[in-house]
Amino acid sequence: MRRALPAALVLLVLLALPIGAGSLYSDFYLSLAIRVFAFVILLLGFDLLAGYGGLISFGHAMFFGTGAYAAALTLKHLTPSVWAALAVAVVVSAALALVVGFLSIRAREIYFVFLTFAFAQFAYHAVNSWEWAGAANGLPGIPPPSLWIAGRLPVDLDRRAVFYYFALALAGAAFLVARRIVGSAFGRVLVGIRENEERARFLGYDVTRCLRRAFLISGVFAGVGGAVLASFHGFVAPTFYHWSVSGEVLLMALLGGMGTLVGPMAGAAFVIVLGDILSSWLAERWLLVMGLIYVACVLFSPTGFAGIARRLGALRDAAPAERAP
Amino acid sequence: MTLLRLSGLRKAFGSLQVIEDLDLTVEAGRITSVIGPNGAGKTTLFNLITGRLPLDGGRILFKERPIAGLSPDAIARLGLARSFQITNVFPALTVLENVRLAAQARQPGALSPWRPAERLVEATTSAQAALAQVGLGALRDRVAHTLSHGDQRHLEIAMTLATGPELLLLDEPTSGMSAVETGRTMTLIGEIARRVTVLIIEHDMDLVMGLSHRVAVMAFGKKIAEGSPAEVARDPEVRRVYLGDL
Repeated sequence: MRRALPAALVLLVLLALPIGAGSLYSDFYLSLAIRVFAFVILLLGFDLLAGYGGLISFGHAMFFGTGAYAAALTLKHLTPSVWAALAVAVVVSAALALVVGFLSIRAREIYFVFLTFAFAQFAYHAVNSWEWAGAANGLPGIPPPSLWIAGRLPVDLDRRAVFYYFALALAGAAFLVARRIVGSAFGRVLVGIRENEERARFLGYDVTRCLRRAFLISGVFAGVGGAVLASFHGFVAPTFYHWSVSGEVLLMALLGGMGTLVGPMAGAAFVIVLGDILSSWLAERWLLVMGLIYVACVLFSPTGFAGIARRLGALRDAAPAERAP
Repeated sequence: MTLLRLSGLRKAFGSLQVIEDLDLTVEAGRITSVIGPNGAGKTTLFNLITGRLPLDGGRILFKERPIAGLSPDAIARLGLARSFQITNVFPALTVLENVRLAAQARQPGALSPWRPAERLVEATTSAQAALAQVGLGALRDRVAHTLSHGDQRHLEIAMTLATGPELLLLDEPTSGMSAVETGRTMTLIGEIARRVTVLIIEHDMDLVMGLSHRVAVMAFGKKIAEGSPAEVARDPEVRRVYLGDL
């Protein structure tokens, strides 16, 4: 109940946001929010693997980019249906995650970080040189997607507010799915593996298989996030694959608090929105402020926003008890 | 019925032969103990049986099925559970979740990413039963690392029990315990052994003599004696190893 109220407020604000767009504030904030939703889906995937499974990937840009390119190519060459674009993004990023997961999950800790980074760099350079994927220029001019399914629902998503609600719904659905996975039998096993891999193995859990599955799920989430952003922008470029995206994901998750789902989502929103505000005031120097925020967070709340929220909650619970005679 | 049969087991670490041509059988429904001084190769023996280390030679048959070469998780799923000499639990999880995860391992749907964990009712039920049996029922909501050392060791026994094993391997189950806790633990093992076959390794000979049906004695990687506790206690070779060559 206590968490239901803030959640309802956030949802209300998000639902109402397009109403004032263009009149009270710039339409641009809707674009920013859509970017947040795309990253929220990516971060949920990252958190399932890193926060719950204990495997820090430094290569999630590769799934984000692959989902983006898969969606873009589908919309450009096959059909304007956003569902088809998402489905292709899911299949292609799942296939990639299957291969990369198979090869990476034999390693742990820093070796796993480097393996995922190496695969992502490989993908980045490959995309940069593939002519059919636009090479370094990327693919501009992707037609606007529609909610078209077999002749029904021919609602074009080219209006920003419509796409906004579409992306919001998708991010909401991704959150519910992620929460379901976290609370599932498999989700509990994942936490067990994070806490004590050896014990999990000697209880009869095939740790490698579990982590590969987590990697697969994580990659698919990241791919869907990329597909959302690509469909919205109507443009993809190799920057989707750039290692700095993987780095940003890690920082967002750390800032929000890994292993909480809500934390990394908040981290994504915070970094994207604050980054936009700061960069309009400070130009390039905004990164300096962002850096200071990261340092402060690591020093004073290593468990991120989620840790701060937990401590505030504990304070509030404790306060009335102390006042009681 | 023979539950576990080891024959000609060999293992070396470099030039050091830790297990040398070892034969051992564990009969179902019995408590079998392997005793020996520190460094005799007892824990290595468990590591070979449970797939933690590869064999250099020999055979391991569990329920007449060869298990050498299988992964530790596959061996565990066959019904062979082990505890560790150094307490090995999920320190940040609650007591109940520790045991529930153990119970879940051999349930259908154990790896379902969609079915809520709480809906695997059988896992929770057998977890609670295992906790009650080791006397930790009241501490079920505590985080595991806040328990006393003795309670953590009992928690680990509850976890191995909750997997529903046919054979339980206990590696020095009372190590680091006070005299009172040790007594409680030995009583507990006696109770458990009414339903599950138990194989214990222990360096303290006196501890397992009263409890075991059969005792094997190891020294320097070899089995030097085997028999009933009384036979083993009389054995001159065993006395020499334990009391020193005086």
